Amino acid sequence: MSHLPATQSKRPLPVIDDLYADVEQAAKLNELNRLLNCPPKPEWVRVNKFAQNSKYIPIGIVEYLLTAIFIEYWVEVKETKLIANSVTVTVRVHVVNPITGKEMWQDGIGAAPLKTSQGAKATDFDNIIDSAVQTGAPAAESYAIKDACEKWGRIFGKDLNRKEENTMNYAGLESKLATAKAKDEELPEELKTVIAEADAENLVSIYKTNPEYHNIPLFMQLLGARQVELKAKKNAAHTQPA
Amino acid sequence: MQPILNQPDLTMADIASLLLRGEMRLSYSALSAFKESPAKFVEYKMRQKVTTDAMIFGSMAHCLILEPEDFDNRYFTFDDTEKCQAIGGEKPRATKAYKEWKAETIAAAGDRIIVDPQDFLYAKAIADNVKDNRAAAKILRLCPLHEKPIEWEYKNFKFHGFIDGDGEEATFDLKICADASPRKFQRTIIDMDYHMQGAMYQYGNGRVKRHYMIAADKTGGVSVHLLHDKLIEKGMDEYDRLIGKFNECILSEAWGESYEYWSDRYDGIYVAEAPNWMF
Repeated sequence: MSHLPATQSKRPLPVIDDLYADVEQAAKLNELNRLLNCPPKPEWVRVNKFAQNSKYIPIGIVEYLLTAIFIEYWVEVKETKLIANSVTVTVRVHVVNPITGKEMWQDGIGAAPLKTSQGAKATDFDNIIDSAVQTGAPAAESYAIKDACEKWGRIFGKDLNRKEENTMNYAGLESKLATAKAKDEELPEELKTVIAEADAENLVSIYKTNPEYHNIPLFMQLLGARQVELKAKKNAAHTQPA
Repeated sequence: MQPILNQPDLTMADIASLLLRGEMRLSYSALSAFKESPAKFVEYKMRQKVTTDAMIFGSMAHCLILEPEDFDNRYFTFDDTEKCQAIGGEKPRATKAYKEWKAETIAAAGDRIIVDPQDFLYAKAIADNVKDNRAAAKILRLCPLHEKPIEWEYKNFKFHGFIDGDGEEATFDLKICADASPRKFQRTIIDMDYHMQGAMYQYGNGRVKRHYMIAADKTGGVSVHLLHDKLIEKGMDEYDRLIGKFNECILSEAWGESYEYWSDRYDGIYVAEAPNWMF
């Protein structure tokens, strides 16, 4: 008996064409991804001087973006609890995908410390100020909403505090490459007829005036074949005895 | 002097026909030649390929960096220092003994490319510099698959190329250049359309990954560049534009045209304008 370890047959990975099987839908979703991954307007971005000058987008802007992009959204508070001296809130932000019409969501978590009286230690629970929970809990909820929304893309503040290397918008590039893929579409019969009857001088203008068919290999193949045909006719005419 | 034809039985019309039928492939180098002019493309396709010393040096450095285990199978360092010392005299290379030894040694090299020991030392130094450079070493680690051949179709043409390094999340291209200083090399990226090459390979590889360029020069300089997605997008636009112009060139049979092909004017003339800094 062999002592070699048993090997499992590998499951093949899908190729990009499989993933793009629904090309129309994929292209539209990519449009949404492109929008979500646009950098936020510079005026929206604020700097938190109390957190090492980290950048953030205020909750008001985030809520405006949720309404503007998804039209419909709602927030579900999943949990609130006290960890050390901070109140933490876990939320689930639900939105309706404007392309598919289906509901989607992201979870987020936020925390805010319970404020203590001036001079007291942060963990001195005897000196917690009266409105600490009243102000801390909604603040934690706002952070949680922003944390959830950031996961949708850069427009919500994703990558705001990351190093440059990670801020590449490859969603846009993928969209560009996908739209460049050759299409299996048929050429219109009228266009085929035009090519079949074209003069040598018209071939370039037919190509130039129909950019929507440049991704269909047959288009250029027919033009090339017509060019060869015209040349053969011309050569035959020249070699024919008078 | 007439060029030595690589494919003397084929006319450009035949080559265009083969390209359109997918029986002949294009590459980044072919498109770069076409970007120069249609006539340069004809020259590229028709003239017998000549391997220059610079090309041998570049491929030797590539091999030492990317496939060092294969170096001895592909290259043979011809070092006659010891032999010359053994023969002695003023002109040891003029002796019969030396000539016989050289003929035997070269015959023993077989199909391997014979390289000068000095060039080998330079190439080895470049390879060591790249491997010791922390930025380049990181990219080499990220992309363990080297010299990956790829083939793809774009619009109505077939293409082929080699990705110098491929990994789960990144690809890289290695360039042995005259000056690897970041400022100079980033100009070279644009001048040589390396961003277009990056876009072509991203497309051909079937998946978008971060694309890096490792530049190394003979003075020991090594720099690594991450091509921004917007630059790759511009490269893709350029790729698309060139294919369109290439198709137009086929249909208008403009293979004899030089730089006039790329002029914006109908008569092929360029207008020399005063640059902004003059005002």
